[in-house]
Amino acid sequence: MKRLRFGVVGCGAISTHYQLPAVQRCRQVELVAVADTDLAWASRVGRRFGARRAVADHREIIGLVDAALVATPNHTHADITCDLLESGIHVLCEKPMANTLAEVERMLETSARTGSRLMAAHCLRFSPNLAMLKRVVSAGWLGPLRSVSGGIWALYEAVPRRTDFRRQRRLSGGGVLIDLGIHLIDLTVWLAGEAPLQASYDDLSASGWEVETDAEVGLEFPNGLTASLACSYSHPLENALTVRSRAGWARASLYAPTQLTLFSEQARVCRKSGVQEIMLPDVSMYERQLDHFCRAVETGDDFIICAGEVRASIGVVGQCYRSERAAA
Amino acid sequence: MMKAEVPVPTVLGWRADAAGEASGLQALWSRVGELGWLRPNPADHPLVVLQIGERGRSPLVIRTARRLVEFLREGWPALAIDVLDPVAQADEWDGLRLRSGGDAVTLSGIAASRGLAVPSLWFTPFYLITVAAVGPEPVTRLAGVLDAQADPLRRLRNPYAPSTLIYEAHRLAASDLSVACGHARWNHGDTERWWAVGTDDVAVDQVVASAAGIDPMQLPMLQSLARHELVATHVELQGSLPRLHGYVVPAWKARIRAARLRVTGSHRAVAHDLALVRRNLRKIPGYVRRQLGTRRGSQQ
Repeated sequence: MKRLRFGVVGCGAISTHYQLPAVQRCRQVELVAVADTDLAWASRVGRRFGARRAVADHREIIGLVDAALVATPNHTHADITCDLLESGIHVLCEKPMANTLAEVERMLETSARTGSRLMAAHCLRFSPNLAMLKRVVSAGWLGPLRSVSGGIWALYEAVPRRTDFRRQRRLSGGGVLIDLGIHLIDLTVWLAGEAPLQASYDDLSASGWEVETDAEVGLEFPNGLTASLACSYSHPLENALTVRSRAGWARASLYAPTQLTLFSEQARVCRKSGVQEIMLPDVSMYERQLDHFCRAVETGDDFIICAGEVRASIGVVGQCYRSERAAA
Repeated sequence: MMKAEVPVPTVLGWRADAAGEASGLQALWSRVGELGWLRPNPADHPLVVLQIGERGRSPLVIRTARRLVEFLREGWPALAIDVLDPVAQADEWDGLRLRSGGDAVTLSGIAASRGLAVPSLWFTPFYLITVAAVGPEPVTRLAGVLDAQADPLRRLRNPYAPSTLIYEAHRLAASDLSVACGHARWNHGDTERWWAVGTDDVAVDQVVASAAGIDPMQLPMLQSLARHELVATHVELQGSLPRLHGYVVPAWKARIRAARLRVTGSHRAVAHDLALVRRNLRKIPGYVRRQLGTRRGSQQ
């Protein structure tokens, strides 16, 4: 398999802590260039991770790379991604893929028109236990799902970051909902296998913040499934996703990827011994995500994260923010 | 003082000579039906899985299983029956679907402390019937239904002692109906045929062990199982079994073999632990970088 010449646009914490180490370990790519508006920083990052070029503008990697990761502040995703797609570069774009549904549509249209591939980087889909949860649900080991509940939190001050764009609505598109909550929305849409019919929303903003720091979302799906999701920058939540059916339940931690807890009345393994812990290999979700992206680009296969699911997730976020503005 | 009470399980003992084998089997399954042992009703399950023990798989086992299939088909014509018989020839189970256990899913075990790979089939609902030939086994001394239940775990190369696999298979996928069979003298097809059938997999092996002239609790696999759950001290035998000859490996031989296995197992455990240590050490630089990054971020 030919190695893809790879570029990374945006050298913030997500790149330096998670994505670039995965790029270094991935045998399907060769890191060619890194780009950041802070050229001195880009050069340091490039040296550390072995990139041949460090540039200040994403357009300078055109012609140098076959594929790129876009990991810049949210409001720039659409423009940068479209520039790269237009130049024949396949793009793995950090979540949220864009701040609005209109931007998502523009990106998808550009991808379809140019033939350059575009995938949203919803890394948790590649976490071994959440991938297993999807398999458990798809194989019908629990029977039809009735509800999904989940909570995700990270103390904002403790999260590695190089800039503070998440505090500013103009740059981030929103607060904790679009940053962390979108993980839970995406996973729920993926598990449900369809877009929700309705979303209800409530949030709180801590003093000094212009975006929400705590949010709760309720979703209703056409198949009767309901979801109750919470996210926070300030209050501890379970950092787990739980699905329930009439016959059982399964729970996956968002940050401990090697375990999935499961009980199903139908499963033979639970009949006598009750709740079971499924153990999974400790594999980096960022490495799995990059492997999947490269393989799909090479073979032309569909991505696990499909356009309809991205539309549904960003659509829910947009609906939540609109409902909040209307209420205000 | 509260006293733990274990219900007395019942096992059906059945015998036939060569000439009477076919009619004997017909009568055996009718009797099993009369006893209500095909409960919960197999027709309430989406699938019946007939598991054939790999060790000592004999023509008698196949004939026994085939007659059982015929009996089930007569009683429940629409029943879906799959056969789990990894060593079968393609045309050996005419009209039935030969299946594998599916890919492996690793569970946190109880006796299997480093995780246990189980077939994905075990996560689905099905009615399990195990038919196994009984015979001597070098470590557990006697292999019967409990040993056959562990076949799928052995196929997935779980690196544990036989007793561990037997307990885990019994815990996670005990049979709804257990059938043990053989000849009065082990490996002598011209001697009397016998069958032991029951809904309790442990009780079936206990009865067979008794017929082979050994106290069941002397078997390493039952000693191991008794560490985790109560084992009935008395099993009611309906009908009879012949005195079985040549079925049990002497205790001293089994102890030597078990000691060898323990040494091999220790080497494997050390190698496994070293691999984990290596993997954790590799994570340290990234962790330190993240922590330093966080501190720098909060100072800015």
